[in-house]
Amino acid sequence: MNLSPLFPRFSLAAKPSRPVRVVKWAFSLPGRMTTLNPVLVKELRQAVRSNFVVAAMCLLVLIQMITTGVALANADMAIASYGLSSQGQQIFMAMLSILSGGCLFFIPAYCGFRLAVERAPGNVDLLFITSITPWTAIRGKVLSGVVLTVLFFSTSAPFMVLTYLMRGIDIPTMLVALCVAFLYVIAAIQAAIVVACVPASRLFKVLLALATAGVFVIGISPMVAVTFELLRSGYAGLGLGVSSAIVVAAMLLLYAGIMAVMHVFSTAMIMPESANRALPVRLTVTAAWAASLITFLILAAYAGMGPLYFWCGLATGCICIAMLIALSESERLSVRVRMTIPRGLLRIPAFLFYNGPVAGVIWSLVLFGMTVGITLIACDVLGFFHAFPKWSHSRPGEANLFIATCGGVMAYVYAYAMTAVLLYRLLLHRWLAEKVIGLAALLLMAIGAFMPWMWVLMTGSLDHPNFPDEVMLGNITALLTTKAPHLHIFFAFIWAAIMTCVNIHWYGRQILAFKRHIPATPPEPTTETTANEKPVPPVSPAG
Amino acid sequence: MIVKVGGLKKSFGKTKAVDDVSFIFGSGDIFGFVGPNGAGKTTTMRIMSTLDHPDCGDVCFDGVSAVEYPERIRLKMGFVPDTLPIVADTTVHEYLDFFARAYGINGRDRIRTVGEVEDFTKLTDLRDKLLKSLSKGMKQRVCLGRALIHNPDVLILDEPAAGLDPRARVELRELLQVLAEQDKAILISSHILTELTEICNGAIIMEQGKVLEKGSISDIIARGTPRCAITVRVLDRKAELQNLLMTTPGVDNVAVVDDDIAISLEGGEPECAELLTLIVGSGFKVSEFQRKRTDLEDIFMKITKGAVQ
Repeated sequence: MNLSPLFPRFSLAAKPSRPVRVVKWAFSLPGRMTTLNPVLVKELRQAVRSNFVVAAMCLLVLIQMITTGVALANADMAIASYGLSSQGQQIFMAMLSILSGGCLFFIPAYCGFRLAVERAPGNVDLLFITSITPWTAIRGKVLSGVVLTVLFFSTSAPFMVLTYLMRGIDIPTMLVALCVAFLYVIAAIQAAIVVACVPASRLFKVLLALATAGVFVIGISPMVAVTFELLRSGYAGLGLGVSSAIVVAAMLLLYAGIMAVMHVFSTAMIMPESANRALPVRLTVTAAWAASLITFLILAAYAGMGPLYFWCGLATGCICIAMLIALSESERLSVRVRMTIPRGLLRIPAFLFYNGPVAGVIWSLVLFGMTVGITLIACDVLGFFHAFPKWSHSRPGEANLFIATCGGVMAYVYAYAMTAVLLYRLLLHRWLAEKVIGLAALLLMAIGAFMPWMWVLMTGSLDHPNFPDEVMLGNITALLTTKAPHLHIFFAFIWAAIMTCVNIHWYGRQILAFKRHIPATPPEPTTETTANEKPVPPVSPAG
Repeated sequence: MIVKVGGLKKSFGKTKAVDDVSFIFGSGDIFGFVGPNGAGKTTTMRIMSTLDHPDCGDVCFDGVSAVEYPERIRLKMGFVPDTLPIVADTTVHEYLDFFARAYGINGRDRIRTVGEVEDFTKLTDLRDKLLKSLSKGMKQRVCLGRALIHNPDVLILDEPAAGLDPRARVELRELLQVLAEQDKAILISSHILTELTEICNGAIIMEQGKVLEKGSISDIIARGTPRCAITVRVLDRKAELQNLLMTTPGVDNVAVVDDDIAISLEGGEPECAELLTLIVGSGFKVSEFQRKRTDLEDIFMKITKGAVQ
């Protein structure tokens, strides 16, 4: 029994200066590039031994074999053809459906379940007491899902190739269809990892997983439609030119943005509580917002103003969700985060990218302001200069109303959020943690939408010809459905303004607390000693 | 390496799991962490190993805060939890290899390190076995191996001897002593107090989230037992000795039990030595002089109430 003294590999000494770190990082890059992600290695080793993966793959192959066999034995079999003329196309579509369905069901469930079990409160996830970073951990999990998907796809390759021999389908069309399915499965895997990382109870995670699965099941329809169209017309039949390539590139940019947001979001959720989790999330969301803007501007150039308004609505919805999530952040900044606060004027923009509900709310409002501003500018200025033929019309009245409605929705969500903050500050702070504020705002919104209908039903005024709009004030869904939203918008803005005034102290406290931490003079060494009578060094948080 | 735990507090709802816990230990120390079930030992250890976040207080490793810089602390600390790892479809070697990779040990270094740790923890013959097929003792050795893979300066072991057979316990004790000789700071929680007394040079006794006693074992025993029980046997002049003892300052409760004289003496080892010198110097033929040793278990039973929260 002899453990030879290993090399002292790690030191607790303070970090070297930034230039030194950059040089070290640059020199270590080749090594990093050739080093396999430890989590990827572990996951793949486990997957190879996993009965679940092996059974799933065997089942997939079996179903594909049976389908191909049956199709070949019955040349005139009535596969739901939906306009697919040749048997090759029909069998390829069937194969692709089986493959996509199988991958969508098995792989995200496998990856998500494994991560959720590792992160479960009852289980000591020792991965997170190693020096592995949250980025590496999540990247490894996603990469393992990607490799598993490639493995599943490769098992289907022989059947896919067989359809080529049956004619009616060409290799580029097959590859494009497979790429679309592959990207969709990868998105589902990343979404499953996000759900698995959510720090919530098992029941909540299961519900969230079901909701996410529902979203992806709904999302299959457009994907299938695109694939059918692709198979019907063929890759060459789509008439791909520069314009189509730009649209495809724009869509890929949007996809990359969504994936990046999900990736960063899941990583932030497993970061240490003392880290600045908001920075990567808000930076990535801002970048994804910019990517989506470019995407929809390109689409608007080809299809008119519609996509731009759609983007405005979509961005508003996402920003509202981001605001509610930010509300649940802790007000207190850890010392390590405060030590990174920049000095001087940089402190002002930096505030938006640091932990804290006020920072999150202001960042959301700034992003919303930019969304509306850019939509208006794009419509007015570019339309005025006739930059694109489809934009030659000035903003129609309906578009103005749509943008105003977006503003009203944002104002409502903000007002509810501030009301939740007020309630928490006055009543709930003794019993509940800060992280419930976002949920409380959501609950208030639900009550605000439900209560007016209850009143209407109880008073029997639903069938009244002059059903008053005032009754529905505070109902965010009514704003989206009413034909005269001006009253709602006015009410929402007034309410938001009042709530801002009421919570001004909450804002002020956090803005004033946003100061760089300056380490205090180290205290005198204590006289306390260990059992071996060693003197105790002074404690400083910075090390 | 000095580990300083200061003012640690952690509550779960209304239950104060850890309430203002402070202690300190360093390289070469093996500190026992004892207390009844629900005393807050595991919570304290989880906070120390950066798995949990305290409501208040901090743990500093050579002055570096574990709350603020958990990533830096993880490189210097190995943790063996009370629950065994749930890792499906993995062999012992793969498990250790993964953690070596996770600590950034690559290439030949990793092969050598994993081999050394397997050798040290006697896992070489089990390296290709699946984790789920191992016994509890074997899993405990895998856990220890995992905690040692990056050669940490501090080891935190939560009930490592629980469920082990006597041989495995002895082996574990030997392993810990070797590690302490390698200048590692070790904090070990256990319910087997007699074993802790044998290997630990310090202890922290907790109950209901509070530290009741801490320091070196000898100090704790000295503080916990201001008087020691002694039995003396002489060949003759028993009554004279009894009279002498009754008049000796610090001696109390002098009683004759069979052939022995039982007394209670105020003080510890030096006072015992003085008393023996006095008796022998007075011409008594002492055939037996025995001081009843107080161990950690006695102290533990004396100062804890067995209360749970």
